[in-house]
Amino acid sequence: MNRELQLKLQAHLDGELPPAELGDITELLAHDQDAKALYMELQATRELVRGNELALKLTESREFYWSKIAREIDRNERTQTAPNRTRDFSWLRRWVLPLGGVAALTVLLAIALQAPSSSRSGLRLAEASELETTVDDTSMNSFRSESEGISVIWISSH
Amino acid sequence: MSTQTDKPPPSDEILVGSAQKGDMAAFEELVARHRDKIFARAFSIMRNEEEAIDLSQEAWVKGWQRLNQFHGDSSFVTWMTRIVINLSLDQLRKQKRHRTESIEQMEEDVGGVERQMPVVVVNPTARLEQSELRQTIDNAMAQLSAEHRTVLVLHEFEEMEYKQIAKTMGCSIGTVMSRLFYARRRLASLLAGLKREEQR
Repeated sequence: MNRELQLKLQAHLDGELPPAELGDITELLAHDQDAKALYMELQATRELVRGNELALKLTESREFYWSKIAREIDRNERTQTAPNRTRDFSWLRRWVLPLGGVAALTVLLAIALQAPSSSRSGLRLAEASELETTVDDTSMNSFRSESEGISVIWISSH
Repeated sequence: MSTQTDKPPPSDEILVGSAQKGDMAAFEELVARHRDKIFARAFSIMRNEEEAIDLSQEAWVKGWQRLNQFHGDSSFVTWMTRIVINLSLDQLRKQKRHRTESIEQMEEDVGGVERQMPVVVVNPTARLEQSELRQTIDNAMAQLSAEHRTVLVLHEFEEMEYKQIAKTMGCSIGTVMSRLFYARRRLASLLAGLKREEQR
C-alpha cells in the first residue's frame, strides 16, 4: 500500500475523504487485510486519544495568577496612552520638519544667489583699483582687505 | 415561609458582556473559570509548565485587549483557546529558529518511516484506571515532536478539520495529513511498547 492510499484511509476515518474517492477506499478496506488492520490501528489510536486528555490544573493560586495578568493589562493600557501623546507630536513633527527644511533651503538658496553678485561687485572694485582723474597733482592710494571683503580708496590733492 | 436559594452564578455570556464594558471583575471571574483549560492547552503544545503558565497569562491579556472583537460566534472559552494556541505556535516558531531539526522531523520529511512501522493492536492499558490511562497517553504524546503533537492536539482535542489545522499552523493540508498519520502511528507504537513492558 502506498503513502497516498494510507493517507486516504486516514482521511476516510476522519470524514475528510472526497465523496468521489469513497468507493475505492471502501473497496480497499473490504478486500485488503493490511489496509483494514492499518485502518483499525488508526481508529483505535484516535479514539484512545480523543477521550483521554489529561485534566491539568494550575498549581498557582487564583489571586497570584490573576495579579500578573492584571499588572500586564495595566502596564499595556498605560503604554497605549503614551503613544497617543506621541502621535500628537508626530503630527507636528510630520509637518514642522519638512516645512522647516523647505524654509532652510529657501534661505540658503537666497544666500547663494546673493553671494555671486557680491563677489561680482568685489571683482568690479578690484578691477577698478586703477582710476583716472582729470585733477592735476593728485595722488591716490587704495587698500583692499580680502578677509573683510572691503576696498578703501583715498584720493589726495596737493 | 420563603426559602432562600443561592443566586446562580452568571453565565459566561453575561460576564463577557460586562467585561466588554470594562468590568475587570467580570473578566477576572472568566479567568478563574477557564484558566486551567487555557493553561492545559498551552502545556499540551509546549510541554513546559513555566512556558505554559506565561503563555496562558499572555493569552488572557490579549483576550482582554481584543474583547470587543469577540462576537459570540463560538463560545468564549473556544475563542480564548484559539488565542493561546496561536501564541504557543508563535513561541514554537521562535524556538525552532534557534534549534536544529529533530531527528524525528527529519525522518518524517524524508518520508516512509511511518509506513515501515508494523501495525499494532492499540489496547495498551485495558486494566488501567482512567487517570492512569490518561497519564500514560500523555506521557506517550510527550515523546512526539512539537509539530506532530500539535497536529494531534488540534485534531483530537480541539476537533479541528484538516483545513483549519493547516491555516492555524501555516502549512499545507498535505503536511497536516502526513503529520497526523505519523503522529498516530508513532503513538500507537509507543503505547504498544508500554503494554509489552507492562506484561513483563
